[in-house]
Amino acid sequence: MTTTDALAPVRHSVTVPLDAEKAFELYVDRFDSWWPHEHHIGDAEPDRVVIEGKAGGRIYEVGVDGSECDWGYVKSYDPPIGFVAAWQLDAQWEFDADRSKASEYEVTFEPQADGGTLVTLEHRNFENHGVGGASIAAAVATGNGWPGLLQMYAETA
Amino acid sequence: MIQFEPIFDALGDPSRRQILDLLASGPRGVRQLSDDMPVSRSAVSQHLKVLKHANLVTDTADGTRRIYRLNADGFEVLRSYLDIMWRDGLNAFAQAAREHATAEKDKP
Repeated sequence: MTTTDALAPVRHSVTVPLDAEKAFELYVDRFDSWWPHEHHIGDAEPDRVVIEGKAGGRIYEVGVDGSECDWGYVKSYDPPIGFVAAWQLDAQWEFDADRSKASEYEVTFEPQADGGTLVTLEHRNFENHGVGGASIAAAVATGNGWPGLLQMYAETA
Repeated sequence: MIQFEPIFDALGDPSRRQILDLLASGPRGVRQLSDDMPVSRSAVSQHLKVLKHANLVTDTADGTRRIYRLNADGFEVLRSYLDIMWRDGLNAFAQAAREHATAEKDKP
């Protein structure tokens, strides 16, 4: 395993039977309606997750106890083509206001010939987390139900 | 399979996190590390041993001294985790989109 491999972007894509406008709207404006709630940051179970659809908008979750946890913010917003967001979780798996330490992910919506849309997500610049990268890994291994998911991943990989 | 326990133990100590911070800016020897830290050289050596056990640092010989650097494998865990999260997320999104498309079609 070289550094380049370990820090290579994570990429996933799906094709959906909606045009780009509707796919984009579903992704951003109704983020909470589809995001799997087992993937959360705060200690509390999430009540809802939110993407504020504008450049500079917050991305955060609200726990059932009313507590809010930021994930990051919207860096650029260009519906229905795509958006770029900062991922701002630090070594303690908590929000880090220092934007230079954030990685980023981009979601793009490409119209397909059949009227559907190819949605691609790329999460990159992991090196920005610095030591946090390894620390986040440790946090992941111990909290929020991630070990089970990681185990699942290891079994299917 | 990645071992999580040693990583978590290793990162639980502030001196070891400081060592990782210093190594993030480039490979260093024990002496260079201890010069920038409020702990003794032998303490730094002990911390490096723990970090090495957790696969967070690797070392190479340079004459009589050893040079330590960050090991990228630690980052692989983070990457794997985010990989799962986005994969699950996009699959859930595709499912919601299919349901949405079906609902639209059924509208009179």
